[in-house]
Amino acid sequence: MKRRLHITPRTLWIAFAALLVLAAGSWASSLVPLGALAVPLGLGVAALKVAIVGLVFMDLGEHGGGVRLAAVVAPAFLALMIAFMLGDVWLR
Amino acid sequence: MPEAATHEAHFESLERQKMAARLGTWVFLASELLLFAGLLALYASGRASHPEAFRYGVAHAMVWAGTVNTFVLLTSSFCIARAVHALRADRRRLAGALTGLTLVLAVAFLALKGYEYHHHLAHGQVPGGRSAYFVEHAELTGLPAFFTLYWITTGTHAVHVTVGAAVLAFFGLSIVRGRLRAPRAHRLEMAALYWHLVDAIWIFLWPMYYLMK
Repeated sequence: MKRRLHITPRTLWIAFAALLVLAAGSWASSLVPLGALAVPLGLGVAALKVAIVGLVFMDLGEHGGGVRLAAVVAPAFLALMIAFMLGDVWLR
Repeated sequence: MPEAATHEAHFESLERQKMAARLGTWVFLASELLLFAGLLALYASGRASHPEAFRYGVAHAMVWAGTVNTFVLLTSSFCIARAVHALRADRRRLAGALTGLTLVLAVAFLALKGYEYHHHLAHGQVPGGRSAYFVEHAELTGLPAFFTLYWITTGTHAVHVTVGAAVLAFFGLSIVRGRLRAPRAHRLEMAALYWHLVDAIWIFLWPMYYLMK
């Protein structure tokens, strides 16, 4: 059973360039007063960058169900914990 | 002596062994993420409870240092991912050089983080909120919580960077000495996965503590 290598060095370069552009965008957006949009925008772009790191650098798309489950469950629990925490603060 | 492409006795093949190593590493990474989960949830709670204090803390962060460190970690992540590909193709010199470059970037990250900590200490921005700085900003009741979380979270992350750097140094030496070759490239891949997690966590810490004013 040979492991397929869909991620090529060229893919890595493209992902790296995308990460740099997104990081530059994050920094540039911090110079603009965004008000209430600052948090969703900052975390949204961060999530996009992490998705690129996960799918390309960590080769997540090539792994089986067990690995994907482990990769999804921890962030899901984290999101759940933060949602409960924020719910508690806002409902006080 | 160079390793042969053999597997441990309790695995039916090397491919099975690699799959088990990958799954084990991902489960470990999930547990590592949950270590940070409490800190991230506390940040969410603190920011929701004291939005002004947290925005003030972010507005007075060393943005240039956090930004430079972000680019350093992104570059290091690319380097180690490329190193894994190079080692799989048995290009040991390139793999060794890229792993070494990743290590240099890790040390650069820690050096800049150390400088940043020194700056915070010099300005009284200490964990616990017991300094003149917090007396001057007494109206911002959430400011001590912001800086305590900042120190604990970035400190925990820095510990992970240090551990990652040590692991990379070990594998870099193994490659250079010819002990780690293409058939065992998955070992470097496991170290790289850990390094990518360190990078992924910082990708979130950067906007949380430097950008989201």
